[in-house]
Formats: sequence, structure tokens, C-alpha cells
Amino acid sequence: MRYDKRKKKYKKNNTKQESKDKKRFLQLLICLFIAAFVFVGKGEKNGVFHPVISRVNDLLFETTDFRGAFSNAGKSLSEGEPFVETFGVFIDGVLGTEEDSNQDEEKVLNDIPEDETNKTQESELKLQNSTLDEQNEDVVDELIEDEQEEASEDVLAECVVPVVGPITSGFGKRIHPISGEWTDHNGVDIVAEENEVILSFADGIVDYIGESPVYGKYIQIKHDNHIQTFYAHCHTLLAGKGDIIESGEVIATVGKTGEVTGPHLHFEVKQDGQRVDPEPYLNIAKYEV
Amino acid sequence: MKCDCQWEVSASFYALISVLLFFDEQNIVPWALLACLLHEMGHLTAIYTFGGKVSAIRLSLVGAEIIPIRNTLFSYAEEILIILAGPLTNIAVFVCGLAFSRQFPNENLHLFCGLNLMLGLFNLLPVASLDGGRLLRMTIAKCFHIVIAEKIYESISMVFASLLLFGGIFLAVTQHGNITLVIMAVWLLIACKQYNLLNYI
Repeated sequence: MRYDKRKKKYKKNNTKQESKDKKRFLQLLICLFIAAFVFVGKGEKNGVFHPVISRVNDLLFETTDFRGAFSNAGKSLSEGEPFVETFGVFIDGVLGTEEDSNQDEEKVLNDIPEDETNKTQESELKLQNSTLDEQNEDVVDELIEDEQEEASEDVLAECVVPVVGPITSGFGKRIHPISGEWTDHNGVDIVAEENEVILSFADGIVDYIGESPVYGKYIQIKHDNHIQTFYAHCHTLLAGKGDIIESGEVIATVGKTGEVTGPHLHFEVKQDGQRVDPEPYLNIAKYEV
Repeated sequence: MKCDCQWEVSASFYALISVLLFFDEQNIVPWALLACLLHEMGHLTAIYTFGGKVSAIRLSLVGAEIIPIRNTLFSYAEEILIILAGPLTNIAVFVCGLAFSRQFPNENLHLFCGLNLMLGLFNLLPVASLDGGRLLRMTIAKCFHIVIAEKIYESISMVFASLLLFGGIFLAVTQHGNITLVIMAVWLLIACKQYNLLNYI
């Protein structure tokens, strides 16, 4: 009796081992086959492989700014911006999702702000004064070419200055007018009278509107190419969330809500969720009368 | 509080940390590790508050696991609080950091707040090795017989992780995104598999 049981157990164990072996052998065959396939396929220059490989390389080595995405989420939330939108921007930043598959447009749009702003302003001044050195001629020619190229792009041809007025506070480190400490200014301050109209910078859809103790009444509009513009300290908001806005359309009026020393528009430009210097964008925008 | 717990560190953990540090050009990983440390300390504090003792802490490819001594029995509510203590610590750090950064804005502080918030939310996903998964398991175990509950739990975990995987692949292909979500989902699937394997030992 015991012997039979042992024999059964032995046979059962053996078949288990056999099926394991069969499985392993099958796995080995499959892996060998895949290896052979790759070996042969890679040799062909015009095969299926090369576009896939270059695509994979793009995916792997595409530089995503993780630090920027996280720290922007922290910054936006600390300034009272709505959570869901901030989270959406964060996900876009981390996953690098693009809406337009046209990457050339984005590169052209990025060219001007990424150039040193000093260069842009300097060469524009030189144009005005019409004293061109040989050194600057090339730079100016390049910029003119760029601007002409961009003028033909629909997005930039339609950019409008939101409020006409002097810029009293620029982007970057500054002494905060109320607290007196060195802080980062996230945008530019354009001085205007209270109740003056604020025009939309470009075509887009209203991302969100709201009110916070720091920014007062604010509105953010989403444009193409992952650009968003943000308008704060408004007196009245004249558009709602999800409204489709045309370039130059009235979206709000200048006010002094929030932490301000006087009525002005606080204007921010965000590229891929990160705040960038708005001045180059304002420099290439047109004035709507 | 005498800590006589064992530390188990697997080789794959060192490999994971090395890979992360190697590819980290923006110096995020140290802050992320600090956030994870605070997360685990939250769990530990809760365990010791409710009179439990920790027998081992296991660091592996799929994360850090705290193993309490076999005969500690927590009540249902205590167990939930222990599980929640981790994500709540992260979210508490986030909230405090927000308040602090209003007065003293600093890029690293913003980064740390963002990391803590996202880590806290990530841990609440209903997948095997995450805190959300453990909460899910507890709730299911209350409603069904333990064997069935385990099966349901494993399938929900796998389904959710697979959804994330397909979502990640879809986004990467159609919207020219990167493979961050894909890697995340693969990591979660590996964690599910580990959980399944451990259960059949």
C-alpha cells in the first residue's frame, strides 16, 4: 500500500518536472527565435526596424523636466491655484504629452524666448537707432528672418498686447513691494488705470478663473503649443471657464484685487506649465487699438 | 523604544537606487528618497503608537515593507490608521511646506512639496504593494471569505496596473509622450507578481 502511494507520488513529481522542463524548453526556443529575427531584421537598412529604433531612442532620451514639473506643482499650489488644473499640468509635464504633433511650430515659437532677452532688446534698440555694427548685422538678420517666419505662423501673427502701459516690475528676482524681501516675480506688472480692458494675448480657451488672496481675481487662458497666459489682480472677470477666446478679445478689466500697491495687470506666460519671461512675448505682439 | 528589528536589503534594491541616481541629472532622487523615508517613518510611528513591534524591514525592488511581529493583533481601525499614516505624513509635509513657502519661497522647497504630494497620492492607488492596495485588501477581506478575497484583490491589482500600462503605451504612442508611465506600470505589475508569489509560499 505504502509502496503504491510512493510510486504515485514519484510519478506525479516526475510529470511535474517534465512539464516544467517542457515549459523551459519552449521559452528557450521562443527567445532564440526572437533573437534570430532581430539579428536578421536589423541588417536590413530599409526594414521596419530603424524607424522603431529611432522612435524608441526619442522616447528614452527625450529630456523631460521632472524637477520643473514637481516644483511648478508645489509653486502653483502654494499660490492658491486650483488643484485639478495644477495636477493636469503636472501630469502633462511629467509625461511630456503634446497636443500638436507638429513639433516644428513649437521649435519656432520657442526660439525667441530662449534667445537671451538681452540680445533681442539690444538688437531692437540698435534697429531703432539705426547704428548697426557688422557684428550685430548677422544677429539682426537672423531675428528678422525668425520674425518673418513666425509672422507666417498663425499663432504668433495673432498675438496682442493685453494692456498698453509701462512695465513697472519685470520677471525674475526682485524686492517684493509689500514684504520688502527678495522674491521671484513670476510675470510682469503692467500699470494701467482701474477698469481698463484687458485683451487676450492670443486665441485660446479659458483654463480657469478664480480668486485668491495673493492674486485677487485671476484668469488663465490656454493657447496652442502648450502656452498659457495668466492675468491677475483683475477688477472684473468677463469670461468663464471653457469659453473660447479670440486673440484681442476682452477678458477682464484692470483692478487692484489681491496683494497690490496700485491698480495693474500681473501678466504671466507659462510654457509647458513653467513660467517664462513674458517680455519677449510682449515685444513681438502687436498693439490693438 | 528599543528597535531590534532586522534589516533585509535585496540586491535589486541597490540596483534600483543605482539606476535612479545614475539617470538623475536634476538632483531630484535625494529629495524623493527623503520623502519616502518620511512616509515609512509615518507607518512606523503609527505601529509603535498602537503598541506593535516591528520584526523586520525589507527593502527590495518593489519598495519598502514593514513586517510587524507575528503575534501583534491590531483592530480594524488601528490597521487602517497604520496604513493611512504613510500617505498622510506625506500630505501633511506637503501642507506645511505650502504654508512655509508662502513666506520663504524656495525652488527646492517647492520641489519637495510637489514630491510629497505626488508620493502621497500615488500610494493611494489600489495596486498590490501600495498603501491603497492594502486598504483595498482589508475592505475586501471584511466582505468575503479570505481565499476568495485574496483572489479578487490580486485580480483588481493586476487589472488596474495593466490599465495604467496600456494607458501609458497609448499616451506615449499617440501623444508623443515619454515612457515614464509605462515604466511605472511595469514596476507595479512586478510588485503584483511578487505579492502573488509570496502568497503561495
